[in-house]
Amino acid sequence: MDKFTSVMDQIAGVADKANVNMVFGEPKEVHGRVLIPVAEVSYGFGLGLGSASVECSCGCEDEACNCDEDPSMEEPCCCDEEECTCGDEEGGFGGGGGAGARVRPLAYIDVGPEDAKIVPIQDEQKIAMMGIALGMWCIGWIGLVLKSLLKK
Amino acid sequence: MSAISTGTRIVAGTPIEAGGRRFLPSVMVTTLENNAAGGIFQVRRMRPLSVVEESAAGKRWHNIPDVTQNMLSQMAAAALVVAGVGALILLLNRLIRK
Repeated sequence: MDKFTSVMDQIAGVADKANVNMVFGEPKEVHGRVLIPVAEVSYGFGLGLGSASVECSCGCEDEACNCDEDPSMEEPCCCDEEECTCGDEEGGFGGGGGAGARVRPLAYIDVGPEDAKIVPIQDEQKIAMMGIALGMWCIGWIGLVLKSLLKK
Repeated sequence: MSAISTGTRIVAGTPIEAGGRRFLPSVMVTTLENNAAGGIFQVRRMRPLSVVEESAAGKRWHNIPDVTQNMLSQMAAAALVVAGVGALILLLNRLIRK
């Protein structure tokens, strides 16, 4: 249970840190100009809990004779006077969780002595991958159209 | 019993002092959360929208563009156009041959 509490604390810590002010970073002075980084921040977390009930069996398949609801009753409702048998241990308890965060740089604010401007940041790798995929898509369609037009 | 909820709101961030100016940021916060009996999850996305620059000369509004996303969207639109034109040519070709 202590481990579960620890996990919960860690998840809560991530959520607290990822507030709105994380989007705009600390101003840094570079060669007489002040730069303020700007990023898109995403985070998520999830957790689940579950517990197992005490397993009981009556030795018969008739649902009406099920003794799961109250295995401690003096005269379990079992068929043919069979005894209700339940596990000795209590039902188990378990839980799990996870969290993740992503920071994607979007731009920086360039603050000079006279003016301030927004300088966007491009993700060249993502654009290149999309460009390759677009090129292949176009080649595929051109091939399909040419094949159709040249067919006798 | 699950209760998935989504929400979008625009939040003003803490003003930033830099280079003798004051910047007032605004952020769009999109939230997706679920509170169920067996478990919970929350996803939050914070996208900067704009900053208002306050200086002795006055106030200026700066938009913060997502150039990567814009370019990817344009490429996706181009792919749709290519597919549409291709499908149209194929259809016309089939009709002419009939």
